[in-house]
Amino acid sequence: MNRRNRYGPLVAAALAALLVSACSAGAGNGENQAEAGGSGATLVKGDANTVNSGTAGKGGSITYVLERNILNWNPLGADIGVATQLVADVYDPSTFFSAPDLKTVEMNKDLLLSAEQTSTSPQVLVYKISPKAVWSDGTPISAADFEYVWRASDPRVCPKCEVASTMGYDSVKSLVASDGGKTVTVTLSKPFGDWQSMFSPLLPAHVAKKLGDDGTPDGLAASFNEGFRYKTSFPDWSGGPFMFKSWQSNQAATLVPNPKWYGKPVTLDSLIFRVITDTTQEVPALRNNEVQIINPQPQVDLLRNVQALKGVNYQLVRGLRKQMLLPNLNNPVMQDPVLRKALFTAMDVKQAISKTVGQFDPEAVPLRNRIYVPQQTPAYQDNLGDQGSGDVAKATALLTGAGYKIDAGRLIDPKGTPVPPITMRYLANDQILQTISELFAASAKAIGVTVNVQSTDSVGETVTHQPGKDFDIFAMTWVGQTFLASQYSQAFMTKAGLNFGGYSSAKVDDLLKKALSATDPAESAELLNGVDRQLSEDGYILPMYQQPDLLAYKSNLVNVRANGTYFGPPYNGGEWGIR
Amino acid sequence: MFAYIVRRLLHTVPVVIVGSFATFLMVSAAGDPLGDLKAKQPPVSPAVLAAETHRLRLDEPLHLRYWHWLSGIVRGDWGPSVSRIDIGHEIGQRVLVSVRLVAFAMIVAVLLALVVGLVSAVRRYSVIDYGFTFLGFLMLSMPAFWLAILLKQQAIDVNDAVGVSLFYTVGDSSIPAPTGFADTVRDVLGHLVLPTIVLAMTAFAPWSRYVRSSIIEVLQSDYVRLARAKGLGRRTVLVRHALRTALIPLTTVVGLDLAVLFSGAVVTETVFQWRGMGSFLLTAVRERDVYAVMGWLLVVSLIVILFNLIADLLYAVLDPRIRLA
Repeated sequence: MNRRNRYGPLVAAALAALLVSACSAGAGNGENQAEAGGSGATLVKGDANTVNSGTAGKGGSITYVLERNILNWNPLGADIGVATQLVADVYDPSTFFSAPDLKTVEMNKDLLLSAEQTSTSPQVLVYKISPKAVWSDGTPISAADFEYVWRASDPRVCPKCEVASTMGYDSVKSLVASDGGKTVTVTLSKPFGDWQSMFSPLLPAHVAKKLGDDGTPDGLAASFNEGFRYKTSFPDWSGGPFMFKSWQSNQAATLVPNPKWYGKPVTLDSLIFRVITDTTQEVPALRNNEVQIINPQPQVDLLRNVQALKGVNYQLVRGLRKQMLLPNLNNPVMQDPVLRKALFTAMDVKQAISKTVGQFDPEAVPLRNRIYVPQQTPAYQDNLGDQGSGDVAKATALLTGAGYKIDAGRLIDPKGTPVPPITMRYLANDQILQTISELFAASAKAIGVTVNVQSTDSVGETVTHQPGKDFDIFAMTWVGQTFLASQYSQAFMTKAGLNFGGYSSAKVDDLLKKALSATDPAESAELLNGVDRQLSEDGYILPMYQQPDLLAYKSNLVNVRANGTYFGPPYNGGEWGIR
Repeated sequence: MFAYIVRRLLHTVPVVIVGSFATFLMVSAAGDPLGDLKAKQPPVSPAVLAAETHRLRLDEPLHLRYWHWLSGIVRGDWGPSVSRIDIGHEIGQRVLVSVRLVAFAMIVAVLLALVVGLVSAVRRYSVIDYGFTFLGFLMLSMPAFWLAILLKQQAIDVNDAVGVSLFYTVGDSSIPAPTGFADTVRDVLGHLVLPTIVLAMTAFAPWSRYVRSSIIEVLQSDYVRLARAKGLGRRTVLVRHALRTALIPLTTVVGLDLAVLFSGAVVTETVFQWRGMGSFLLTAVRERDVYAVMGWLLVVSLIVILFNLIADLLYAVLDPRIRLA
């Protein structure tokens, strides 16, 4: 019987069964399966950096879900999404990467023999590139690639280059190649504490030349902004374990092992990144084995469906995405720190957790620091005091101590004027942030403040104060990074780009400037905790909790593990395999 | 006939212009296309924002932006996209995906509507008629996404039961695509079956009711009674006289419902992750990508106009009175 004939009756029978069963279908199948089977997905725990380690067999293919299409392949570009970085993890080498434990920044030992700060004044960085490290066309990875990244990321050299970050690069005084281009010595004119964030990832300078880099600023900008974007194609080079075989926009990127890969041998035949933009469709696709790894934002129903799957393992960890309440100090009503502190003190974060993520993540705890997360010990400290406690009596005492009065359930300010209603926004369709906003409104009511909860369809528009989208308090998700001084200087320094609430404090500015220059991690931690304490003093931002990060995968996969940083689970994609 | 077609097409030009201008105004007012870029972490430089503002023509007055879009369309330039996609190229790829889905669903729905409507009309007030009526209203009231989710779950159960992947839940083909004709056909059908059923079910329900009432009306007419009296067989009367007449209102309804099918495809494509016009529109709206939304509107409008024209022409074919007039 040929293949076609063999499937004919099967398809007919299956179609009939499908239509009959669909009409009689009741509750979600996942629940039925869990009840019938008695065992579902297995929760895997262990050391964040080594969990699910194992030896992979040779061959096989793994499909990983991307939740967004990729429109810009330049991982250093200004307008990229997370998906670009996830794929770049496996083909574009970084000097350093953030490990899953959220505190370790590891050197890429395949790419570099060493990367050291040999002097702090002036700051000198010396990178020794592995002699084995080559691009997929055989061109050695060299100082020229470091230089290209520096030139493109330094606004003094390339003002037109649309880069995600210029931090550190704008202080480069010199970049010198030696040892035939395999040693790179970078001297900075002012110290940059987060120097390990630089040159991650690299871009091939010899490819850049083909893409228009002729040594002029315009040529450099053309190669960076348009060339590496690969608008209608995909990168045809690699310096990582995999290289591109094909890319269908909005559908999938197929990568195969890079024959010139200089690290530990890859076991898979192919690694596919499949675009599924509707989170709710990821679990059925995993169940139907159309994909093997999903990393969706967990919700109660979604996690329940994952837990009901047979032959699936999952990890539930807490990453660097944090839920926070951001006050807008540009609006008069939020300009009094006493009122802000009272509002945050009246808010019961534990209750908010129990009504939201606590329903599926029993280990979720209140976040007591705006900058560090609990995994980042010993730097993580509780700097919040009474804020987030839900203690209405203390909140009221704060207000009355400052001259406020609560009259007939309404808060009256020290001048005798009723405090006007506050507008609180959250991103539309985010049920968790909606619940948090409603809880905040209820707690504010207890101290006489009316909060009108409204959704917004664009975080970007709201936080940049577009007309009609403005806010007094914004319940938002903050995507953290492991390079904290760089990130939070943008969030808390006066008039910095990410200072969405309009916060300004000379003391905080000074502490952040010192933290940016601090080359000793302990010193940096102390300075950043000083920033956090001052923010508590000023009642600016109430941290809530770390968002759980769910990674579900077929149970026969090894070395797949959650990584709640910007690098995501594919940070070690070259090691993935099938038992 | 040719003059009629040209006249009909010319009539649509002002409608498309007025409609597109109104849409352009509404989409432009819906939000800041640079909102997400402005909220990037770390922030992008003012120079980047200024360059994007200029590239997206946000520094021009609205009427000029519309004029540039309209005149660009004539030259084959679909305008700058927020996400820097080539809008024309993207639409060219996606429209084929959507048209394939909608066309298959339309064929299935029409055939189902004819069979169900005919049987219901002939077996009026029987158990079968009540059964089909119940099914029709059930499908009419069932949200497409819900039906899609149910079908998906059951399809996976079937796959598990037979031990072969007969049905797929995401995309319009496997990655990597299979090689060989038989496997390719099986793969395409395996991806096509579920979304086609979902889209067809939601469309067939009202159409079958039209067919049913139309055939009932025809069966009670004098000419059908005369045909029977002349000794024509029941089947001949049904197929050659009743069904042909009943096709006339169905043709009109199908032509008009094409826009509904396309809007239904937005949901179906989302649930099944087909990269057609539906998901293109959703992404464009989410990104406040004005020119992408305008491109979608233009293409879908043209498709609807074209199919309405075809429906009108078919109407004339089916009804000699129209043709003669």
